[in-house]
Amino acid sequence: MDALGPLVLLAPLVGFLLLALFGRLLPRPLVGWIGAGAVGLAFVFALAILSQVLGGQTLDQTYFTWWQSGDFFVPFNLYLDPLSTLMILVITGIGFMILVYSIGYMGSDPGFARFFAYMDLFVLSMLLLVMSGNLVWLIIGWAGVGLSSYLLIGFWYERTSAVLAARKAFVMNTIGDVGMVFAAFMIFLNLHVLDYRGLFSRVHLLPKGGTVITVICLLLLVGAVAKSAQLPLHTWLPDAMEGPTPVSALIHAATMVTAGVYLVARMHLLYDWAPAAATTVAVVGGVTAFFAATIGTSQVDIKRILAYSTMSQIGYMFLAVGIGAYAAGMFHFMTHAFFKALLFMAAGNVIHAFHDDQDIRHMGNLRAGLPITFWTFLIGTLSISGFPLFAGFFSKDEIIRAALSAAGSEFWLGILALITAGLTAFYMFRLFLTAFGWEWLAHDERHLHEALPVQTIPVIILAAGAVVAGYIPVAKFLSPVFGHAAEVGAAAFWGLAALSVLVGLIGFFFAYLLYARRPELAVAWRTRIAPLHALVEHKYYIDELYDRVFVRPGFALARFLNDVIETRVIDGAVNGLADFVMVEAREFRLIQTGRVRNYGLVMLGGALGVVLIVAAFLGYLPFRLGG
Amino acid sequence: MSWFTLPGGVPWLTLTLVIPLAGALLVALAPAVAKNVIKQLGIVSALITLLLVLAIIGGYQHGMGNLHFQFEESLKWIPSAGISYHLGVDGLSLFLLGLNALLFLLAIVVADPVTPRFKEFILLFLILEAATAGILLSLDLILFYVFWEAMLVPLYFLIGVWGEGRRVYAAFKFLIYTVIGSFAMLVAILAVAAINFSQTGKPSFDWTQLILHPASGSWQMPLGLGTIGIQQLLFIGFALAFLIKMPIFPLHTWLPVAYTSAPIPVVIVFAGLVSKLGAYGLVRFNLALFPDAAHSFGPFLALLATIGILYGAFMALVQTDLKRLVAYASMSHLGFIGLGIFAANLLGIEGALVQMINHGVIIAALFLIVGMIERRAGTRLRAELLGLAAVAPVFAALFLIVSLAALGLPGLNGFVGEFLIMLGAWTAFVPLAVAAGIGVILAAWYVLRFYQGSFQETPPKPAGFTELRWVDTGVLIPLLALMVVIGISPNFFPAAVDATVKALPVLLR
Repeated sequence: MDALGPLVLLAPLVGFLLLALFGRLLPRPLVGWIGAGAVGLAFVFALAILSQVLGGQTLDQTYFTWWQSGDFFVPFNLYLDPLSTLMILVITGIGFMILVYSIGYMGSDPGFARFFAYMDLFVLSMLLLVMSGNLVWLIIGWAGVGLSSYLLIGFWYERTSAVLAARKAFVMNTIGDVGMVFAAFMIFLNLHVLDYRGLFSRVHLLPKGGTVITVICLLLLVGAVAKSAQLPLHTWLPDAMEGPTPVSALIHAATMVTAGVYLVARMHLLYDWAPAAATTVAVVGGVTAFFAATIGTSQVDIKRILAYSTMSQIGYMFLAVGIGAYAAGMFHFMTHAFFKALLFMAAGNVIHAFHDDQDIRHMGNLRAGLPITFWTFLIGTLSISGFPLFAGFFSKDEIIRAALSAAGSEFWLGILALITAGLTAFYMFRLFLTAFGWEWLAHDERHLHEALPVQTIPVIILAAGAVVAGYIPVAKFLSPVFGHAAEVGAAAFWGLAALSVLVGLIGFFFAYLLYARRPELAVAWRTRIAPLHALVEHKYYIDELYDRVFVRPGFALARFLNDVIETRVIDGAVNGLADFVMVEAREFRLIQTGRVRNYGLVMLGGALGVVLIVAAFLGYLPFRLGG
Repeated sequence: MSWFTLPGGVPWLTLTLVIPLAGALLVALAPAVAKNVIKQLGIVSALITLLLVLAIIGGYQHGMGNLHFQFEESLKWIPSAGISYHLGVDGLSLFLLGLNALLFLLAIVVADPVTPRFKEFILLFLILEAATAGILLSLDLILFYVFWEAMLVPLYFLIGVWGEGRRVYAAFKFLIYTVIGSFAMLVAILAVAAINFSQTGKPSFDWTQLILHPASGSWQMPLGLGTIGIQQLLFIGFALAFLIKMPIFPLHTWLPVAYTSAPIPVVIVFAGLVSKLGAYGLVRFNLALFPDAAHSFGPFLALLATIGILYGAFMALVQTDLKRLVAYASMSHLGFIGLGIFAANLLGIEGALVQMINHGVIIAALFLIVGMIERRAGTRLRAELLGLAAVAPVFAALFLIVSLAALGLPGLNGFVGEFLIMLGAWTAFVPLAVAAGIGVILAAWYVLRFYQGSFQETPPKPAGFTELRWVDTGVLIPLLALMVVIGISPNFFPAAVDATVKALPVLLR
């Protein structure tokens, strides 16, 4: 296992370096298979790790020292337990599917090699993030994920919108990084450790619920919120749709946005020790889940709807880890990875079929033209909507149940999560019914082409996962980390199941009514609630708010400093003084008299120095010597 | 422990001064028209110096604390006044010596032989290299002062004669600022020695002696202005010279105009190294000789440094000239170094020391890139550049890596120093560390604006922009390698410098 850990990292690292350095010289098919194969190989190593972890082994191995000075000791160590093992399996497994799909999807892009290099870097960074055994390397992986997303969101750098979206994502992620760094500072200064083993064993030395641990957990939350696109640092995620569709699949399913959930779960001993911070996590998650779902109901871009659905689903995971249902949160992370990767990749097939048009109103009736994509997308929709016995049904219900069985504010968050489940079914079926349709078009003149097998096969595999992943005993696998979850009685299980199915059906019913059965009603209702609809459609104007409050004042301040303070005030004072001392400074000529004058100045300094040396040794200095 | 052992009995440190000077002598003898020969002479002497310095770094013994110097050389100079030719290297100067040798080599490699009066240009460069190395190696304060002033003269001419735009104004402004600072330092040097003389009865300008007897007592100021500690007074004298040289806000206004006017080879050395000599001086003299004053002025100077971080970052955000932009970015980054120094604790100072190297590497690379852009595009104005990644993908990739190091991406070198500095600052003054964190966010903003504004979007302009040549890639590669190595595995640094920093008097109080 000592060797397997580094091997998991090495595979994508080699893939990245090969493609970054020689990618443009290699033939295309080879590039694709190096890029995907590197991640596939990492998946094989991850499976080997799984077999050992199932046997009860864990790993905390130091490979070299990053910095040692006094008690500030940062190793490079890898930490493998069931939690990180689950993460690396999903990252490499789902990631491999996405990369294979990309071979087809990106097949005609001139930046093919660059794309696969970035994707491998992305997987590498995410693996580093989850395998690191200390906070500094966590932060390095964390930032690497931010960097890779920057590169991939801005992959088509000729587009201004992509460039701006990439920068926005990077800067917002940097805010989170700084929060993480500060959390690391407080941990180090209070506990004198930065590695997990030491941290987890010493966290109990801090007073429970005290200021220190609460602030630490809140600072970590800043990082988690930025990376996972939760309120209020979420605005980069919808814009991130500027990247190629497989990137969205990778960001939303296997990597990046799930990092925040992992962070809270990894630091669960800290959050258990800081109840107020944990509750904050839950509130952020519950509110984001609802908030994003409402926006999802009003968008018309297929990828944006999916983006808001991700925000919403990650909100569920935050809610789960915030109320201490860590295993449930990780369970939902895994099922979500399957159905969300599937949804994005199927959406990518549709977008290709419509020549990069992403507006769902231009689509419809795809059952004949794109049969595989149609059926797999339907499976994904059912799974995310919590249709009974699909993967999403089990994991989402577990979260809602955990919230509803808690007392106090968590209960209300559970209610909110239940309502959000209804909204989810509504907006997902709105998407499905509008974009894919329900009727059989006998004579389709659009000549739609189903995607290549290299794209459809991964989608089919993921669709299978979106059905069966709910039966994987994730909670049991994670029990060495989080302990055993309380047994759920059959009555409670089926009672909640019935309730959530009912809510889902209501959502479905309205979607069916408004977008399949009586579309004129949708128009009528929308005009009736026009202001509310505008608010939701414009994402609650949060982008505009940030622009007014942060971006524009920032530039205004910078311009003020540049135009007024620097030139007129500071330098004005200096130059004014200089002019006063030396009126002829402006007519100064280097070659003629100036050079002499400068020498004179230097010599003047030297002469004064000599005088002072003499003065010093004769004891004529203007103060008493030696006190 | 060391990587290997160098034979004793060789004046290794003097050689690092003599080789560039010998090169300068050969250049002086060469005919001015043989420009390629002159350039090769410059490269060879800088290269030999670099190899020698690398040998010194490799032979440096780790873990020798208690103000221990290595490769020490001491010759009598003016014994009656206690002035000697005393050289030595310790953890404070070791890696800066390496940076010095590396940056001079790169600067001479990129110097263009069609430069008018090329012979004098290279000649001054080699003299400057000896002077800056001397600053790092001197353990005698008078010797230090001589090297300090010796640095000023070539630098002044390199800007004033070979500069562009308002070069004369720039050079003169720089000169005035520097002379004021130097004069204050000279007075302080003499006073330190005089006080030491009165305490010990033995004249000495030797750092290793002076550090044993820190000044104490206070001075009754005239006109009823109250009293001020002698140590505080001396601290101000030294600090003024060094703070101007870094520079620390608000003593910085010579910087944008000087950096912008200086030709690229000069600005590499100027921004990459000379600014660091100010920071080095603060650690070597202010923190070592005046520990009490360092503690009393620390918070105020840390505040100024932090203002500099934010001020430089905001200024960088709205610059239209890329060279000016990098100049303000440099100022912002130097604020971090100042913050680490004045946090006056182990991690802050070590962070500042490693950041001096990082800043030298990064800022040199950025200025090199600005030069490469300007040579191809004929302009450095951000508005006249667009979409160049499409025509120069390798250039874009290398530029991106440098940009990421500059904005402090974890995993590259800039992060290492910023992390330690902010941690040190957090220990001492939390609000300043938080403000520095805002500086990190602003850095992401202005650096990416810089990169994206020139290399992304479409259509590419100006027309005729070309990909990097081998020599361009060649000068960037060593800097990029350092960015990656220091980012991933920086432990060689504390292993070598830890013992020296721990022995600094400012930490022992």
